[in-house]
Amino acid sequence: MRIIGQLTIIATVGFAGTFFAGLLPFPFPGSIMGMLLLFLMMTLRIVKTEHVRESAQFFLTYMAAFFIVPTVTLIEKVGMLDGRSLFHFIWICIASAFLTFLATAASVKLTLRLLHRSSGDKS
Amino acid sequence: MNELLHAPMFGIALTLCTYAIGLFVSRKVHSPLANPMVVASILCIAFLKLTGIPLAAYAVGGDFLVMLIFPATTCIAVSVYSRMDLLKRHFIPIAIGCTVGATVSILSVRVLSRLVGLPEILTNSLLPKSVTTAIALELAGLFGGEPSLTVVAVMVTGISVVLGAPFLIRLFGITDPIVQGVALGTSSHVIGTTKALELGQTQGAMSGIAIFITGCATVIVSLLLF
Repeated sequence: MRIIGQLTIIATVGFAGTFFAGLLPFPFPGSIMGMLLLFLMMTLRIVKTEHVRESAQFFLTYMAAFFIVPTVTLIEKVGMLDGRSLFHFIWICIASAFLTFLATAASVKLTLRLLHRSSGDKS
Repeated sequence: MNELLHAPMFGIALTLCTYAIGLFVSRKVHSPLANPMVVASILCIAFLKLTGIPLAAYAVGGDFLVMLIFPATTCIAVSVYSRMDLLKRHFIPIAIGCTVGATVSILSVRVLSRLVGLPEILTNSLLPKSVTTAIALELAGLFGGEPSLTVVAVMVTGISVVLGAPFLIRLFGITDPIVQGVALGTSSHVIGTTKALELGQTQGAMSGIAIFITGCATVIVSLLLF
């Protein structure tokens, strides 16, 4: 009974996410709207952690299992990748990832320093 | 036989069996390369290739599991809510870091792809590579990318950052746990979070929050840019 109740909440909030995402004037993923709605409802204490705990834990722990099927469809898409594009695809991916890491680190560091300075404590 | 293979339980059983093997392997081999999902996908592809079973037969049951990505994405909210106090305390640096990260990620892919003349569909598949797979798949659809390539990009990103991060952290002297956590979560999502947890509790928690904020920031930045 408890699990079915939890799944009902998750499914209903997810559906509400799809509904509200559809109202926006631009394309917006329903699942992300559902995530934002659930977050909002938890912040407002409409939904409490214990209302969804075990089911959410299950989804979060084993989410990776749901990504296997989209990966396997690669079989049919290998035609899109010749050796040259694959090479570019991979190095751009890695280069961009490292740039993202460094840019994020630098901006967080700078923000923390500015916040410390303006609040006047430490250093 | 044909009828049997098109039974929904075939795709589900094959996926879950290979995932169980993947979980077992990742527990034995402590390497980011032995990712359960990567292992399972390779095993599934090998199985289908060797037996000659068509992808369509596998997808009958497989698509059921794909549907579950939706509620799983919604549940990310729960993991962030459990770290609400940290989010409140460090909201400004996290929000700025994630937004800068999301923007750099998207722009660097755009610029580099244009430089080498990468086909449009490959570029579009690369764009959401720094966000968690569930959100990346949604964005791939939005950008007109190919979902399976996006999963590959997400995996390559996660694994390369985890392998490269210790080097980058030393080279640039990144010592603050908050900076380490947000940078890992923003650039390499869940895979980065496992690395962040190895560095410490604060890093792990910050990284988990960063996944959520980066996901939102990427959606907003891409809506503004395109």
